[in-house]
Amino acid sequence: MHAAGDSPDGFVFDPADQLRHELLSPLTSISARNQLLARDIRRASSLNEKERTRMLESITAIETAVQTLCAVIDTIGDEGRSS
Amino acid sequence: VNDRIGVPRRHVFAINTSPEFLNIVRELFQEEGYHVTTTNFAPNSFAQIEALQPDALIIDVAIGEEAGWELLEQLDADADTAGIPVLVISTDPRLLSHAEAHAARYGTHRFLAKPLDLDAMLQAIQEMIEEA
Repeated sequence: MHAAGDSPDGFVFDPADQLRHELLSPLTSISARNQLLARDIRRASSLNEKERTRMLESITAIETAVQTLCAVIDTIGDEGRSS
Repeated sequence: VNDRIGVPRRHVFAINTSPEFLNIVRELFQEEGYHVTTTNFAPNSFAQIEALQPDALIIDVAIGEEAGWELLEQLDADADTAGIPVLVISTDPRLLSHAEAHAARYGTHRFLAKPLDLDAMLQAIQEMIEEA
């Protein structure tokens, strides 16, 4: 067994790592739900092309925002490790 | 289990602490015709995997949590489960690097960072099953 906060083989995680994990987990759900929605929109026969395009543009905007946040969170983690 | 005549239905088993993530995996893979089992690192997870013999596993390794690593080691140590391909996922790149460095020890595995590209996850599982 590893000690609490260590995992695995002696890795020690600081509060910045934990914060990064806590922020990335819900973003993972947002991004994944967004991707599932995009798959549904592409398959939906009830949508016309204009509606489909508008919805997929919104999906892309959400995904872009998620990726921007992920990049910021990565920076926070790096700063935490180097300080 | 066969969904369509002559086409075996592939079985994916996902283990994660997040019920929402498990719902997403279930929805994604069921849409693609897979049989899906999910669990939240229950104490009997290993026994379930050993009994069900899924075609592939999706296991999350999280910061400060032992369950993912312990399950990987348990699976690798048992002849009945060592050959089951595993997709290892994590929010922490260091954990993924560590897992990759020990890939031989943990058997036939692939690695993906969160947030996940669902197409990449589907492709990885499909390829691992075909290669197994």
